[in-house]
Amino acid sequence: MTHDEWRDLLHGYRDGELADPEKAGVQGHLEECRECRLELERWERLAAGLLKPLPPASEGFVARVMAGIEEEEREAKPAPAGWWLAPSFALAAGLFLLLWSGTVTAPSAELLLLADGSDWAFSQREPGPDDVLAEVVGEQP
Amino acid sequence: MQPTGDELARKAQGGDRSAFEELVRRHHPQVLALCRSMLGDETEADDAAQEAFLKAWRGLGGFEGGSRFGTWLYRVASNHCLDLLRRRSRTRALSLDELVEREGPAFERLLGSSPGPASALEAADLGARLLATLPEEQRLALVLRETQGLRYDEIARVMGCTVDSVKARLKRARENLQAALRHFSEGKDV
Repeated sequence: MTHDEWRDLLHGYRDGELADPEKAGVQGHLEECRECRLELERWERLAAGLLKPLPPASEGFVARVMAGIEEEEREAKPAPAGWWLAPSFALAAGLFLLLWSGTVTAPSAELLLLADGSDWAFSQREPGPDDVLAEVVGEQP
Repeated sequence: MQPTGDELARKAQGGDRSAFEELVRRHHPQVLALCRSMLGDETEADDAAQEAFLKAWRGLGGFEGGSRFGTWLYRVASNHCLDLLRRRSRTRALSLDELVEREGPAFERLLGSSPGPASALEAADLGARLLATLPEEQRLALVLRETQGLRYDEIARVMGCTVDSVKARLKRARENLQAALRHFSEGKDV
């Protein structure tokens, strides 16, 4: 293998990703090649600068996560079945009570007050054949 | 004997909250570290890690047990971080070269031939800003490998790509960083 081919395997060697024969080959090459030893050493130094030690375990963090889960589940908890019918029942019950108590009366069938202040009278008599004839000839019954 | 992560995950799938709490307890340092490395900002990372666990709880039905629970969880957290980064992309980050030029003395203290007393805080901050200059997929592959110690096949599962893609992303990420920082690290011999 050429120097560049060995060089390409350096990080795989450092990462523990090489098969045994390749690993032994890189080890042999490193004993002979100062340039590759320096290359690995430089990376070790750089990686040590990059590596951050793991943050210490924090029970506070665990508690915050679990509180978040609890809150989320409380918000997502389904309301009792049929909750959406409640406003309809309330409205129906309210109307029933109003009508039953007699505080609301239906407008008179005979007399309605028009917007111009005049009255409009309705007859409660069922129209008969004479009424039809009078309508045809243009007379009031 | 302690239950394995997969056993706890199966219980949690059945609605057992205390099993999920144990999973959070076991995995949160890694998930927090992943979010911090990906997002840089510590407060944003803490919120992101919490949201990732909530998403994991909601999505437990999607964990089929074929892979380790931790790998599945990394996938949930990584996707969440990538979503946040994409939403954030309107604010332009410094390029790698700009960062190196601006923070030369700090890199010299960290990597140079006569390193000064760089504090752990300074190193962590510089590392996060350095990672932020990489394209998202290179950054994620590098963080999963260097910070989380995942194997290539595990990274491939988290990222939803092939092992060859993982190798290529790691190679490019390392080449980018090494090329930009060569000036500081070349003076030192083994």
